[in-house]
Amino acid sequence: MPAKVKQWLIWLLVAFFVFAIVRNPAQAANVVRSVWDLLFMTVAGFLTFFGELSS
Amino acid sequence: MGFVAVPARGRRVFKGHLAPGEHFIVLGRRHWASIAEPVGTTVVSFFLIIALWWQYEQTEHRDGSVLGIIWLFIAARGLWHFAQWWFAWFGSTQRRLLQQTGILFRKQAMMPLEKVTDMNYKRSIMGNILGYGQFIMESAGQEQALREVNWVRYPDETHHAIIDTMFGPKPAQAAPHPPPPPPVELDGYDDDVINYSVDDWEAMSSHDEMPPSYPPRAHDAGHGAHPGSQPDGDVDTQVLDLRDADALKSVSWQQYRPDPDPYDD
Repeated sequence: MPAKVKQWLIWLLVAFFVFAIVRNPAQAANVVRSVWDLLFMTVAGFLTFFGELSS
Repeated sequence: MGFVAVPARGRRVFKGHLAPGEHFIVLGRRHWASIAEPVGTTVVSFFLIIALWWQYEQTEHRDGSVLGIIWLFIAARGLWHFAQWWFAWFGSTQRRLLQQTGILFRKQAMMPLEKVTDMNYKRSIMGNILGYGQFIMESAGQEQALREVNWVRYPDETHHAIIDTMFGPKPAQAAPHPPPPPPVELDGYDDDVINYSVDDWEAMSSHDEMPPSYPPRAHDAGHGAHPGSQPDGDVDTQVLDLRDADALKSVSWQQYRPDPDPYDD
């Protein structure tokens, strides 16, 4: 049954996202932005690191 | 694009792998959902990496072109999956299920329809939404080459076509090779006359592949046999006089079964 459980969790996650956006759009946007910032900082950090190494 | 039972491109893929007289009843690639993830990842990551690249050059004023190289790897993976999808075909002839997969290592799996003892047809929630299904074949063998077929597109139509072939009415079978006519030694006695019965005269005379000499009418023209014999449907027994060489020549032996089973109807 793990496959079924996984399926349920995925649907639950999707439902939560929809719920969050509907309930508080501004805060949901903030969450997305901070996730993006985190991603960008990680990537930028690696890029700068390897750029400095090779220069 | 609607349902096409046997696309011409797929037929070309299996060209040379079918027995004479074998033809596909249904054939197709996998459902597109099978490569939705790799292709989707390639497209989404393209935009993601463009955005990251742009923002990096804006804020740090450095060269971020390494990101482009990373994306090339993702794209190569997507392309590989796409090519695998492109070259994978599953279908059924009137005798067996066939599947071909692989690009560099090509693999062809098959399962004769007669050997399939059980066939499961499953559709998941996503399969119902997007329109794909799964076949699970059970057969007497231990490890089958073709047990699970996932991502069957147009699953209802495909399932129906296969079931129809397995359990539907059989098309008229070609007559098996006729037994050689028995060697007869004619000595002029009454036992030289052998009764041959024709079970279903009407069905046989409407047969498409009847040789032109059929039905034999030589003995009707007064060469012997029964004076009152009628070649039509209400008569199921023809008497053939083996002493009559002309009549023998005009008989197509495969139409006669020497000893009909009385219980066979």
